Amino acid sequence: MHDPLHQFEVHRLFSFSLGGVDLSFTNSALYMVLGVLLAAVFLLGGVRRAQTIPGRWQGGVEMIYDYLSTVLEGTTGFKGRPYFPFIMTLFLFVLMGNLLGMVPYSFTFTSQIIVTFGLAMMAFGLCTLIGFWKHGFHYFSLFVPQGAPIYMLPLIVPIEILSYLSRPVSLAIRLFANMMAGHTMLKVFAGFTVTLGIYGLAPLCVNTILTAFEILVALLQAYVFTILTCIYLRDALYLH
Amino acid sequence: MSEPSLKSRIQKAEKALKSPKKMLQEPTSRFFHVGVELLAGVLVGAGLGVLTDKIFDTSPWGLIGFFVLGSLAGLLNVYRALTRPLSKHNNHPHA
Repeated sequence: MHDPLHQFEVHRLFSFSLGGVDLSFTNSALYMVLGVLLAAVFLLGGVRRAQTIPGRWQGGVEMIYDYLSTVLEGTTGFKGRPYFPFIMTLFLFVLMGNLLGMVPYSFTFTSQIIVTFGLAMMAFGLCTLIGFWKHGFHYFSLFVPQGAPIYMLPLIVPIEILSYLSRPVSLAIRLFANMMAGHTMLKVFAGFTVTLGIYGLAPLCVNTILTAFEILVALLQAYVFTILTCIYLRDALYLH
Repeated sequence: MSEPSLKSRIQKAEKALKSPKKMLQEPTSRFFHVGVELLAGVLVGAGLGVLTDKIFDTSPWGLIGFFVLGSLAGLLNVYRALTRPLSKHNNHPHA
């Protein structure tokens, strides 16, 4: 029987190291490149022959653009507008990673915690930088809730700081855990199908439903990742 | 005939742009794994605790203290995640 965790193994496609740092090109990196290419082809192909009345492809691109634009403006308002390219890139990268993982025999790079943590730290770092850039040291007032009694501050401020620091961790774990759990489950049920022979029809039915569910999760988690980034961005832009 | 309606539509769009009032986070995504928020708080607390102990050689007090603080932060995260669209957003001074 197949090991259900075998699909998460990262292996080198060709080795390469620079100054003692291992920079080998792995299957994970290959799928990241594929994801970026897919996103670029999707966007550029959609607007290559832009028409007033969009066709299906152009319509799809416009729907994603429009939707993300409403999400961003709904959460951060007018001030969040300059960060739209970042939000859209983040969404498309995560989405393509999740969807590429749904192709049989492919690798899901969003099921690697280092990838999701890297993305989360990038979003978190950007929001923190924007916060300090817009508000200076006044940004630290994010850790002091309005109307809190002064004698509670020694307890509240460390809790607020820890809560702030846990943002990228929760962002990273949410995406990674969802993708990893879903793909493991699919593989486990596929294993049942093979070993059960004729009775394997039952797990096969389950797997069919699970596949549809996994596509929902792939879309939803890309959306959740993006909207949480938008919410953190709002905190950085508006302060309380 | 069409000019005033366009004008009013522009005004409406501009008004919508200026106020981040609508919360677009839907219930499905809101309740999807709020437990992760708790876990993240506890993990960050424990991690900082171990780090403090290693640097200042205060084992095990750093871990104990930060673990408790981290758990509280995790609970705060859960509370925030669940109440975000209802309370925090509507009280927004810029909304």
